[in-house]
Amino acid sequence: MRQNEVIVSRTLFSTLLIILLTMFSSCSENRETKNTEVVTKETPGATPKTQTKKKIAYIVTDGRIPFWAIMGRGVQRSADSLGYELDIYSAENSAKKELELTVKAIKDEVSGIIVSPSTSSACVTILKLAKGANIPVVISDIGTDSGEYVSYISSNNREGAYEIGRLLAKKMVDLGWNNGRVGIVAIPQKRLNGQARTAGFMQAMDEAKIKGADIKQLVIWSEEETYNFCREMIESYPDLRAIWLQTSNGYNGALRAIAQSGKQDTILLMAFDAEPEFLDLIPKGILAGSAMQQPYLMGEEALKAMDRYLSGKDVQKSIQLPILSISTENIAEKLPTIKRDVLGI
Amino acid sequence: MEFKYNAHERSLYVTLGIIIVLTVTIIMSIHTTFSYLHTKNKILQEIKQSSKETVVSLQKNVTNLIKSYSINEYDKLIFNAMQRKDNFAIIVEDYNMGKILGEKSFFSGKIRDAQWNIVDYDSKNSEHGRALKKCYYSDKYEIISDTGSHLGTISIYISDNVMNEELNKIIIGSVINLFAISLLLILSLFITIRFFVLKPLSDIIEVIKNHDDDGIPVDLIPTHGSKEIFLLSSTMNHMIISIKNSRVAFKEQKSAMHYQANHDALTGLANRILFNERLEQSMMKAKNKSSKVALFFIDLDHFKGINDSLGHDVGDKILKVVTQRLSKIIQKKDALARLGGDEFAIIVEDLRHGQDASLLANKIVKLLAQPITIDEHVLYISSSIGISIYPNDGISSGNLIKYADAAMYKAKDEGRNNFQYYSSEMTELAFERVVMDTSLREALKNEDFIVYYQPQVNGESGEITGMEALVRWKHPTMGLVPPSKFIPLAEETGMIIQLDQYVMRCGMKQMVQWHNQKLKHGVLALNLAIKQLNQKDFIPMLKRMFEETKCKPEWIELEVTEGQIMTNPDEAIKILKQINEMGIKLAVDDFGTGYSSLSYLKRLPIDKLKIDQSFIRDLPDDEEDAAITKAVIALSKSLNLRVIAEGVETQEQKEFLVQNGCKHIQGYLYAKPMTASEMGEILKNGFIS
Repeated sequence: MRQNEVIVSRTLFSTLLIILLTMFSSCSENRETKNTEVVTKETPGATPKTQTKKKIAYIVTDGRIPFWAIMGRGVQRSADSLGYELDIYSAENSAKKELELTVKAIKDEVSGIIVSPSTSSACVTILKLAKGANIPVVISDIGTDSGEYVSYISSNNREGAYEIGRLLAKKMVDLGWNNGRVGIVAIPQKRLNGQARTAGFMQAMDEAKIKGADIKQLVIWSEEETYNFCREMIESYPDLRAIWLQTSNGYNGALRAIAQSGKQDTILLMAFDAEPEFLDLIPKGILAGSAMQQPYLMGEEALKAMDRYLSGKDVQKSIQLPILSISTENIAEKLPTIKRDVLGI
Repeated sequence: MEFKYNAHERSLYVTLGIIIVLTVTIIMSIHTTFSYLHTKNKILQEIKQSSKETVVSLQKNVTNLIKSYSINEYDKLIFNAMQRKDNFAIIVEDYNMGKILGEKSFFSGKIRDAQWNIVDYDSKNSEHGRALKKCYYSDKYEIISDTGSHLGTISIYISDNVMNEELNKIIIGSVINLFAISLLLILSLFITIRFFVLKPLSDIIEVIKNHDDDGIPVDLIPTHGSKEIFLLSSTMNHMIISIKNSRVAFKEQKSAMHYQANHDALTGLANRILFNERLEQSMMKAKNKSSKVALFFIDLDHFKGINDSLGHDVGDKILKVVTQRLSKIIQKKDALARLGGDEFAIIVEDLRHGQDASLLANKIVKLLAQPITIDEHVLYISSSIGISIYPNDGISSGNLIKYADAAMYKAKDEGRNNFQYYSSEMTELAFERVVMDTSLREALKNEDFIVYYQPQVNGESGEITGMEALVRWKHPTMGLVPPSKFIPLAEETGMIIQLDQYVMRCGMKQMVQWHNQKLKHGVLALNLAIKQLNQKDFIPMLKRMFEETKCKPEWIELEVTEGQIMTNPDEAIKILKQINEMGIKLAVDDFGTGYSSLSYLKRLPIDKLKIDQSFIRDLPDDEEDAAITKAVIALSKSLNLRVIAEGVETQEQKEFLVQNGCKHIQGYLYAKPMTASEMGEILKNGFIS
């Protein structure tokens, strides 16, 4: 379902991505790696750089989507720095192709596979095939329903949602709107990341004693759907003071609904993840803030985990990377990190 | 009587228990077995149905998932389908994925391991392959897309492990149920039997145990309980009551039988058995008291003739009258018994002298000589009494009876109507009598008798008019025995009938012989005992005899004594008429010695009167005999009867008779009885002087 989020902003983001790709060839060392405590253990004789480069395959569900493209660059960056030959395979949103690429990687006798699967279910088959060939797999985002893998790199959705919730609450208190309500346009709650995001955000609301309005779940992920949800909440709850979108997808619909209601000054809009436009909207206060995942960082960490495994070192089974809580107040400060780790530019 | 049961005999409770336990166990086992088999089949059907449904359901979903290369998705579906424990493995053969892998097929699915956990199926794992082969049941379905292309197959494998577990549970459950139900049933049946069958039976046994010496329960059996027990108890009570009543009846019957066994049914007097006991007791008492006991043996004179002529009814009535008379005459302490027939006995106790019995004996003789009237018949019966004395004559009851019996015969010999004391000589006479009886029977058998003939003569002309046949016994050792020695005995024993018939046949044959010799034989007089007349077939017998001998009836004259006719004159008249109708002449023998009634005499179909020799003997000097003789001759003339005198021995007698109108003479004057040949010689002359 991550794929759906990304596809929506694909056109806008891809143009920017191509320009930025050439401008930044290295990444900043100043990266937040909270909750990624990795056990490093030197293995005698095991050096990442050998005479013949080990080949790593990165299979990504759809490299045409910026989020995955940024993550791919993160993987590439680490491969380069650690001396691995990396083949990036984009399945282009095809389950068949994803499997064909997996089989191809196996036949190429790669040393390891990093996969950002189309679905956690599809990942199970990939893991099964790789296991059959005795090839280690690191999963970067999405996750798997089951199967054996080296490490799973993901974002801490609950923590990120909690932080953005606290940020919103503080703003509402500062504005004296803490008696108002907050509505949520949520991603499907059957997804683990959706549940984590809602739970983290609600915790922050409860702590600030801010009342909730409706929670409406996206079904078709369109801007129109977001617009309608927001409009309904605005009409239903006169004391509505904020709307939190659990995705960056369709943020324009929300902005349009608020604008049409004439409550631009009385309703705050918060989001999740990032769009390049956010770098403009947040400083202007049109968008109060957003919790931003770091795909580039995830890609880097994925390959590093694979490297540690291949080097015979212990690898943490689950590595959760922090989500950046960006608001009007700190966007300037966090901008380099946003550009590199979030937007990959 | 105590009945001891054998230790090997089971009680009803145990027997019923065994039957109940076996029956319930067998029934429940059969039921459980059928239930088990039924359940097994049902489970099998369910498993197959379920597997089919599972696969069909999977088939639809898996088709799309194969098409969309969602291997893990159909693995999930398979995993869910595998939650049914009887599914051992579900394997999808994916042609699409096979193509990706460069192989014919890709196998994916779930299988159970040894711990029955669901694990991924590995087609290269030989363990998995072997496990699949062991499966109880498997089924395979093609997976075909909407467009008709073959996407793969789906196979389901069913293990019987779960089924066996299930069946084992069923078996255990059934066995527990079997035990529980059986136990419940058995307990119920035991309790039911205990309370409704055995308890009542025990109560019955308790009551039956309390029985008297004869084994009959003292109390009645309680009748509560079921219908059958009630019926049993009621029936047993009925039996007990019946037995008790029967016992009372039996005692009464026994008493009656004892009475009957010891008493004479007709007269109610003691019979010979009781008489013997009483005699023993009397002897014992007499011995203790040093007194004497007289035993009277009383025999009625001519009773047999009365019985034969008038019938037993009359005879019985006579016996009753005699009993009454004797009962009145004896003292209370004396014992009266009827020993049989016309024989009575009396025990007279406390006598000082043997001769003291004479007084009573005289009384009895006189008393019984008085006429007895029965059904308009006036009958004259006398008695002959023999007396033996204890201890003078004997000290045993047997001897006393025997001696009294001998004395009685002595009295008979003395002319009846008297009593005689026993004397030792009588024993010899009695013995002689016994010997005579035996010899007489032998003689009849050997035809040792000879018929003698005594001529009957016309006293005026000396012409022989006939003769009387008289029998003589030619004894092999004793020589000729006179009739007085054996005729009374023959009459008593009934042998007189055979003897008379013998004489008649011989006489008739002889008459025919004389006739054939052209001799003038006249009429042959034959003596006819009244017993002959009482024989039902006498007339036919007589006719046969005439036919056999070819003798003519007109040659024969039958003589019947006056006394015999008068015992039952009506019957005698009836038979004599029949004889007369045959053409046979009839004569009244010994006329004048009996009590002939003139009215009867008139009615008798007789031709002749024969004056008894007792009247002839003292003629012509005895006036009384002369008067009687004349009267008889006059009577015969008035009745238009011929008259003959017998026992004529002197010329004076003959002349007296002839002068007075009795010209037919028989006696020694003319001839003694003689043999047939002698008689034949006389007949040749036709006259005798």
